[in-house]
Amino acid sequence: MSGIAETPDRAVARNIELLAGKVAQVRHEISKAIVGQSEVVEGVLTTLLAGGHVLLEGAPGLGKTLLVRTLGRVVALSYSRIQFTPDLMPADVIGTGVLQEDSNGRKSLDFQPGPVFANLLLADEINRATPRTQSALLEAMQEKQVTVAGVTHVLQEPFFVMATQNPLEMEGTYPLPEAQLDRFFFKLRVPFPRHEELSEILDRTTQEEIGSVQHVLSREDLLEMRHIVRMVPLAPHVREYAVQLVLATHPENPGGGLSKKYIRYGSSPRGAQALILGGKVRALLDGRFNVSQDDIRALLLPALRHRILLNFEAQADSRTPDDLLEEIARTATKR
Amino acid sequence: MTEFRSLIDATRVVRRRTLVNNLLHYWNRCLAWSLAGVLLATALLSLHAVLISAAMLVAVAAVIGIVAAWRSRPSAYEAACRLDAAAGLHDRLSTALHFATVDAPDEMVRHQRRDALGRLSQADPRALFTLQLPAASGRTAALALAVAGLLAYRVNHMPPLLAVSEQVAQTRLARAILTPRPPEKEKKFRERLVLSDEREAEDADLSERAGLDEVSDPEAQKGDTSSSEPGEASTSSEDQANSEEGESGEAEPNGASEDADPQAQKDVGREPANGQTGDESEPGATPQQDKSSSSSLAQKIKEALKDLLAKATGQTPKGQQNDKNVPSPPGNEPLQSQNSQQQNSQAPGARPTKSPQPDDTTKAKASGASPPMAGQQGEGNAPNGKDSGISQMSKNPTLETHPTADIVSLAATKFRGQASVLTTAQAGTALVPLRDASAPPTATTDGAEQRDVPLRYRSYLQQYFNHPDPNHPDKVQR
Repeated sequence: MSGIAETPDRAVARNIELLAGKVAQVRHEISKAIVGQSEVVEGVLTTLLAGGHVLLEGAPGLGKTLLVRTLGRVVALSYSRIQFTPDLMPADVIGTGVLQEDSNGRKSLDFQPGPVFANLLLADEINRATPRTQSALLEAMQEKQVTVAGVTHVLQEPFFVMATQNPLEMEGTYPLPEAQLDRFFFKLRVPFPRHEELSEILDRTTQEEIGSVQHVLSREDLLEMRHIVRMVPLAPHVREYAVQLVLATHPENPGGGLSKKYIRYGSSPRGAQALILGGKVRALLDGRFNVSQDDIRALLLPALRHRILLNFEAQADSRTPDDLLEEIARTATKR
Repeated sequence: MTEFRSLIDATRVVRRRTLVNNLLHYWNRCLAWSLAGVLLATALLSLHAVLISAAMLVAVAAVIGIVAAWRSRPSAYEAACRLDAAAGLHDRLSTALHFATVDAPDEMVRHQRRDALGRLSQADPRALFTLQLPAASGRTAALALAVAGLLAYRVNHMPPLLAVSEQVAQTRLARAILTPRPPEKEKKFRERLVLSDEREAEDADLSERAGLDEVSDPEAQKGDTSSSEPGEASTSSEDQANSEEGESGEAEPNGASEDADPQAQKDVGREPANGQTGDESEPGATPQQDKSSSSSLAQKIKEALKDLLAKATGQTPKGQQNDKNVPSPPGNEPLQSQNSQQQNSQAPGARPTKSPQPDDTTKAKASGASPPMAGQQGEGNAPNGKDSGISQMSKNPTLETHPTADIVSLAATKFRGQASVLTTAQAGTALVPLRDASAPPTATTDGAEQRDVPLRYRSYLQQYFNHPDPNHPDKVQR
C-alpha cells in the first residue's frame, strides 16, 4: 500500500481494497505465534488501526508479551519494552537529560530519550509502578509528546502503547488512576486458552523451532489505514446509539437506574470516541464501509469497562463493569 | 437519485407493510378495549343503549387505531433501518440513504452505496415484512365472541315474568287502541242508529199529525180549558199506559237491544235509585213549568185521590180501561211513547223502556200514580202554553227537528251533576229537581252507547264519539 501517489479518491479506493487483505495477513502472521486469543488479537489490531492504546489484563503466562512482540515484528515498527517496577522513575520511561562533554571539554545537558520513544511500547505490568511513574505516560499517550526539562519532544507516529497488568497479584501494586485508564482505547481481558488452544501452545513451545513471523505492514501503510478508517461513514442512528450507551453509564442520567445504583463515575467522551472509531475499524475489517450498531454493541465492553468506576455497593454486590455494561446494552434500544 | 430507486421502492414497501401491521395492531388493541366496554355496557345498560354504545365505541376505536397507526408510520430512513435489521445488512441501507443527499460523495461513500445496493438486491422486503395479525388477536376474537353471545342472549331472552307482563300490556294496549268495543256491539250500535233515524222520521210525521189535530181541535188549540183537562188527563194517562204497554210490546228493536244488553238494563234500573225516578221527573219539572205545576199541585192530588177512591170502590179509571180494552189509536201510540220518552229523557237513566227488574217504587208509580201525574202534567203545562205535550213539540222547532231519543249523552244531560242532586221531599209531596227538559239536539247518537260501557271507559268513548274526523264511519252513517 506504500507508494500510492494517485488521486485521493483512487488512492482511497485502492487502499480500501487492500486493507482487508493486509489485515488478514497480519492476523495470519500473529496466529503463527499466538494460539487462539482471536478476540484479543482483533482488539489489538483495532486499537492499532484506530490510533489508540490498549491495556491487556490477564494472568501471567497467557502470551501478552508475546503478542506485543509478534505485532511489532509483523508491522515492522520500532518496539520497546518497559518492565514497570515500584522503583521505576518517570525519567526511566520518558528519558532524561544527561551531562555530556564534547571534545573541547565543554559540558552540556543532552536529552537521552526513554523507551517511550518507539512506535510500539510494551508497558509490562504497568500497575506495579508508582502513580508518579505511571503518570509519566499520560502526556505521551494522549498528546504523543513528552516534556523533559521544559523541552517538548514529539513522539513518532504511530505511537502505540500496549500495557499489561496482572489482576491476581494485587500486593505491591498501584492501581492505575482513572485519568490513566481513560487514555487506553481498549481494555482487553486475556482469557485462559481453551483445551485445543492449550494443546497447540504446548506443541509450539516445547519443540525446537518456533515459526518465524514476517513483516507484512509498514509504518506508512498503517498510517494510511488510520486515515481510511476515519473516512468510514457513520449513520446518525448509529452515532445516537453510541451516545445513548455512554450516557447510560452515568449515574446522573435520568433513565439510568442501574448506573445510579452501582456506578460512581460514568464513561468519559473518550469512551464514545472509542466506540465510534473502533466501530469503523471493525466495519472495515468485516468488509463493510459503514458502521453498524452491531459494531458499537460488540465494542461496548472493551471500550467502556475501564472507563466506569463502580461504587461500594457494586463491589459489595460483586458486580463487575462487564455485568453492568451488558445490562445497559440490553436496555438500550436499537433503531 | 436513479441509483437509489430500488432502495426507495424497498423502503416504500416496508413503510406500507409496517403501516398496515401497525394499523392492525392498534385496531386490535383499541377493539379489545372497546369490546371490554361493550361487554360492560351489555351487562349494565339497556339493549338500545348497548347497541348505541357499541357502535360508538367501535367507531371511536377504529378512528383511534387509524390515527395512532398514521402517527407511528415510519419514515423512509426508519424503514431502511428496519429493513437493515430484518435482512441483517448491518445498517448498510440506512447509511446509504442518509448519505444519498451528499452532492459530492467521496470514494468511501460511493463504495458504501454500491455495497448497500448490491446487498439490497439479495433482500426481499415483501418476504421480510409480511402482513400478520397481532399476537393478541385471539384474545380480541374471544372477547368479540363473548360480546356477541351476551348480546344475542339479551336480544332473544326475556325473563318469564317480564315476558308475560309485557305480553299482557301489549294485548291491553292493542285492544284499547284497535278495538275500543267488540264488533258485536259495534253492529248493534249501528242498528240503533238506523232505528233512531227511522224513529226520528216517524216522530216528525207524528208531530205533523199532532199539529193538524190541534188545528182541528179548538180546545187543544186553546190548551188552557180546565174542562178538557180531565179528559186529556185520562187520555194522557191512557196514552201513557198504552205507551208503556206499547213500548213493552211494540218497541221491539229497543227491547231486543235491551235484552241483548242486560248489564245496561241493570244500570238503567239502578239509575232511578239516585232519588230521581223516571216518574218523579215526569211531571215536567222544567223551570218554565215550575209555577204552573206548583199551583196545580192540589188539583193533581185531588185527581190522584179520586183515582184511589175509584180503585177502592172497584171502578177502574178510564185510562186503565182503555189500556185493557181499547187499543190506542195508531197515531197516538207512537205519540204517547214519544211523549213519555221525551219526559223520561229529562231524567238521567230514566229509560222509556221497561226495566226487567223495576224496583217497587217504579212499579207502584207505573200502576197507579203515574197516569194521573202524566195527565196533570198536561194540565199544568197547558195554561202556560209551554211544553204542553204534543202541541208544545209542534211549536218548538228544536223538538220537531230533533225529537228526544231514548238515550241521551252524558254531557248533554249533565249526568254527573244530576247524580249529586238531592231532593228533600216532605211527606206526601214530591220535590222534583229543576232542570232543562229540552232535549239536546244530539241526544240520539252522542253517548248512546255509554250505557254499555263501563264507567271508567265512558270518558274515552265520549272523546271517541266527538271524533273530529268527518269521514269517521259513525259520522258518515249519521
